[in-house]
Amino acid sequence: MPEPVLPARITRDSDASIIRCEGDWSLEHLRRGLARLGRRDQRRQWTLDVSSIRRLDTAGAMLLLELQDQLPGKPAFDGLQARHAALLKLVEEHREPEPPPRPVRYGPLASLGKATMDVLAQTVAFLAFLGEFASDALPRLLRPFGVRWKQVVGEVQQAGVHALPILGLLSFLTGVVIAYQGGTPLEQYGANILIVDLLTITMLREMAPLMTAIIVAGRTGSAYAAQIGTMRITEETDALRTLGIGPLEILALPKLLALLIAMPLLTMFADVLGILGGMVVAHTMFDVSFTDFLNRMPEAIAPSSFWVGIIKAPVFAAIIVAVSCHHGFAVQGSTEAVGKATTRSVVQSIFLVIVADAAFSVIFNLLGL
Amino acid sequence: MSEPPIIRVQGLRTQFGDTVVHDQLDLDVHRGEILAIVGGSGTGKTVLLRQMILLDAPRVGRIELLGRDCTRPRARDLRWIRERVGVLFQHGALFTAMTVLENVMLPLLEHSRLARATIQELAMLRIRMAGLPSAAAGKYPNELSGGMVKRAALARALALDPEIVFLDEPTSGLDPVGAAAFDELVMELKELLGLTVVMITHDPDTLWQATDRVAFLAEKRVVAVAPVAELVKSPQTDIQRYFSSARTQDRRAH
Repeated sequence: MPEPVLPARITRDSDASIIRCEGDWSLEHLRRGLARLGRRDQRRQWTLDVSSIRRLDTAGAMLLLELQDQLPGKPAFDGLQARHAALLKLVEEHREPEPPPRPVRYGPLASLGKATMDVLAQTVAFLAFLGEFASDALPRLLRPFGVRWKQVVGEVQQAGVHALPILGLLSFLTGVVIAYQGGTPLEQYGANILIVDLLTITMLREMAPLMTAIIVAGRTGSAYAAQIGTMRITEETDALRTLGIGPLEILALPKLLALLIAMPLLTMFADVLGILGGMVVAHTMFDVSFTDFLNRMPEAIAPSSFWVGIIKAPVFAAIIVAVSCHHGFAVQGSTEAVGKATTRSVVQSIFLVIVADAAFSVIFNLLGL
Repeated sequence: MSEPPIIRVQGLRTQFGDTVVHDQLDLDVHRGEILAIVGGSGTGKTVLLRQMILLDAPRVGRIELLGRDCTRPRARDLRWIRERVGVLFQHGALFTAMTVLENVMLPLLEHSRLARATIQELAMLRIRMAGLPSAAAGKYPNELSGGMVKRAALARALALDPEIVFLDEPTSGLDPVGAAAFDELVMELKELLGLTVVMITHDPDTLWQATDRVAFLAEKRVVAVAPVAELVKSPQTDIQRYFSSARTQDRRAH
């Protein structure tokens, strides 16, 4: 049997100089401005009648005290029920008139300076991480029996085998797009067969390694950052350290080895599927049969094109593992930091992969490959 | 006890796969009492608590809170209940991206029609009532000690002036002095605010000091509900085994 609702309200009896508080003074029945009195009211002497308040909770008690503060001479509460008095006393004891401490806010100039220093500090931290990782991993690699190969295999399965469907599909579609876009202008000159050159060179040298790196960074790098970041928050990395196991050795090294193995293989897979996609388009739209295509391929490309693409894969793998593990290990404090680390690891690995790719182009050009 | 119980659990059955955790479990909680749920591990204390705070729905059985059937609550009823029930999770479950003050203000901003300044003041009141210094309000949860996290979580649980507060192992992870202070705080607030408190605890000091009644979970149901001094005299073997351990003796006299 629900009680009838009586919202909290205040009535003024100006003749008798009485302010009456009535109804349910509990959180859900209070609204803003309830305990605010006008200027003129604040100057008069009033009696505060609270005898008809039915329910009172701490929120209501606080508003009552606020009301009392506004009245001259702080009149006592008239008709206060005993059970309400204890509550009022509790609230009065713990009330704090001064506002709570404000978090520090920076001005634009200070923010810019802070952001700059943060970037510098991050770069230094990344270099420090690389150094630590290298000095920890290299001695272990010299004694390969100590490496956790079982974990490496597991990571290869996760990062490599499970990435095959998505990578295959995207490479195939990329091949389709390149053949289609490149084929139309070539057709105008009757040079349909050159689709083979266009497709194989772009696929082998650039597209396959880049596509693989981007997918691995998004799929696997983010997972690494999130996993390690969460382990930081739950203190699992600290637990490893107390157990005498280096977190880098057990978490980062297997991932590095796994991607060093998986990414060249994934790149080859992307090569095959991309060229296959191009072949299908060349066959159906530009009258280049599968046989012609395959016959042309050895003439179109030097074997170095294949190796130029594959050689990039381990470098991209190292970049992705280093960046994502670095951001994972840098997580501190809140769960929000895990999300930020994940985002950052993906953005920065893709950024660095593309920078490295540009550097490769320059180097290969100088070498005449 | 003419008043109907504030929480009524009837015929509850919980099952995970083939494992039956609860079967024909009944439990009544009266208004204004502090009830502790105890039992060995694996007896489904946490599951029972999660069902009572309407996070998990029971497959079979009925749960009533504040006189309303909450077994399959509608969205409107659920909101009504949520405004009247506070929960303190075992590890605090404070939102790590917010300061303590923002944590306590969140439910108030969501459920009340008061001005922001008033809400802020109310939140500060809760924080101080929970025994935290004002300076803690601007801190983030990861900057707080374990005891302060519990207090901040209690402040958030009390934010909406609830009628029922559920505490999941409120004193776990606290030192004896901090635990005793926390028990006292809960008792004081219960007295002053007229709260009903339901808690899971393993802390013998809390059991002896702070509870009005203790519900003992064994054999997939509540085998006994009684004040702890009576419960220890129960001939039930499970209860005897639980309380015969030196750790669960009354240590107040020592």
